[in-house]
Amino acid sequence: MLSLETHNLSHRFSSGQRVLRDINLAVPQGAIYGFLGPNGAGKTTTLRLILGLLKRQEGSITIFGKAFDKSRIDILRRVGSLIESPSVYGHLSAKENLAIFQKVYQCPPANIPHVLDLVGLGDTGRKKASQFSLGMKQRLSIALALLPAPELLILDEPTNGLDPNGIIEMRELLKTLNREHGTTILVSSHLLAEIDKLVTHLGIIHQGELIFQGTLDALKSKQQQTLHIVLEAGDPQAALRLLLDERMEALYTDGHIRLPAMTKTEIAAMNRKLVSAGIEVYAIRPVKNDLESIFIDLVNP
Amino acid sequence: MANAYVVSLQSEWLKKKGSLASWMVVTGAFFTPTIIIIARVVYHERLPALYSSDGFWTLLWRNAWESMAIFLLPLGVILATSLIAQLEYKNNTWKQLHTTPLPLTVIFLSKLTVIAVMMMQFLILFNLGIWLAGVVPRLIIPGVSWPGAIPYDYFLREDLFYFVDCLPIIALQYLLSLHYRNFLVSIGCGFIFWIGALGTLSWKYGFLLPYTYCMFNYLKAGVETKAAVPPVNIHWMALGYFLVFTVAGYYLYITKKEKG
Repeated sequence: MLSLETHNLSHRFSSGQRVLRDINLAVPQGAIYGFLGPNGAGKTTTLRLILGLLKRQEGSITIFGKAFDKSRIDILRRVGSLIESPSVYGHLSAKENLAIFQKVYQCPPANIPHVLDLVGLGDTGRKKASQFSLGMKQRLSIALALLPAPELLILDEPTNGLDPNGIIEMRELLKTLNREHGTTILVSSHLLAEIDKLVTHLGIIHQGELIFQGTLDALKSKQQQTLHIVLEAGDPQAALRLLLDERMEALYTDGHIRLPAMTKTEIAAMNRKLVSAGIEVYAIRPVKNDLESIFIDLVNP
Repeated sequence: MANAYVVSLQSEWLKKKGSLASWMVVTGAFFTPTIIIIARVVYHERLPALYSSDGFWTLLWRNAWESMAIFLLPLGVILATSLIAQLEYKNNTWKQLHTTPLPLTVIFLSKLTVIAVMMMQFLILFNLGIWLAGVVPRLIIPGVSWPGAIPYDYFLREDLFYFVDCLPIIALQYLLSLHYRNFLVSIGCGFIFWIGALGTLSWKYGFLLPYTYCMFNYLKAGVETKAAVPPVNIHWMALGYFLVFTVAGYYLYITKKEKG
């Protein structure tokens, strides 16, 4: 069951520049879906289209099984969102900001102190939001998104402006919401390490195209497949010939030899053969492909 | 829809709390009456004759409205309307507002209603200020008689006329400030239209300009001026312009491609 689905979503700016091309997002119910991409990839444009902030040009958007255009009000009643920079009324306190939206969502007034405590702004009293730090404004924006106890939370770069402690707290908060309340979360970020620690599913967008979509486990398995060993030798050509003669999948690239992942015993055996053949071995090191290197591999094929 | 309008109105009313626009309503309403009180206390020797004259309240009303109708009210409406609509741009909150479960029509109408209610609030406070301008000097200066009955009918009728005459300014300023992110556009246009209105008061077609009606409402009543007497009912003209600008503003608002 999908909470959110887009079908062939495409978008052009008024200048004619194409910013999104056939985006087919599939966010399963109960997932924490990381929407990853470099700056300018089209993450925010996609999220703004999903929330109706941009006029849809091509493709379709379905949330909770309903077409967004036909059921906008019903859908938005069940969605909390934070898009890009904080949006709060500077001349009002945190509580007053939330009271505005509590009226609109018609949720219980008790939600206000609850969400303020959740984001760590319970003690800001009458202090005006304009006097808040960027991190505090971001927390207040997250509190606004959480206020109606949404079934789907759409967060665009929610950790912007937060200090390391705040980032950890935010991650734990989102995990708790997902685990205890079953909230589906779509979170965009360029912080790969953060996404790695948070999400269950992932979509990677680059230059307006979705280049990967699946579970984090699927991506990790891809990561395993791309683990490799790098060999630096005094005479790399001779070393390459020897390794190929041994039927190893060696590849000469950028002054070193790249080999598939192997055990420590296999590495030691290979080293012995090279040394016995009179080839100087400077370094043999495994290259662990973290999410960052997979991401870079994906966006720079 | 009706329920959405009520909750939206409540939330819009909360937003204006402590805003510059809400302070302008209060200070603007009491500005002229305060000046009148000070002037009357300073020139207190004229008060016994003034307070015993016929038509005291009508004269006080006209004194209070003189600067208000020509300068302060049109400029105040231009500023307050622009500030209310610009709250969302200034705080970067359009995107938050447009992702709430409210129809766009409701958002548009509730903001416009808040501005209209603020206008009424201003008129009530200004009437209170005029009453205080009549009562306070008498309390401070001894030997001044009570000036007689307040002509409520006249006050209420004139209040209604001024309210209606401001509606075109409200609607056009609202349209501009919803459409343009830069508040200087709406305020700048408002100033130009106001100056244009001042400049065309003596022109026989001056009544065609929607920013002239407050001024004409004051000047029409027999004060010696060079203003041309409008050959039409300016209050109906004001209502007509209000409807046209509101419909145009609504169309531009709902068809905007980017909503925050």
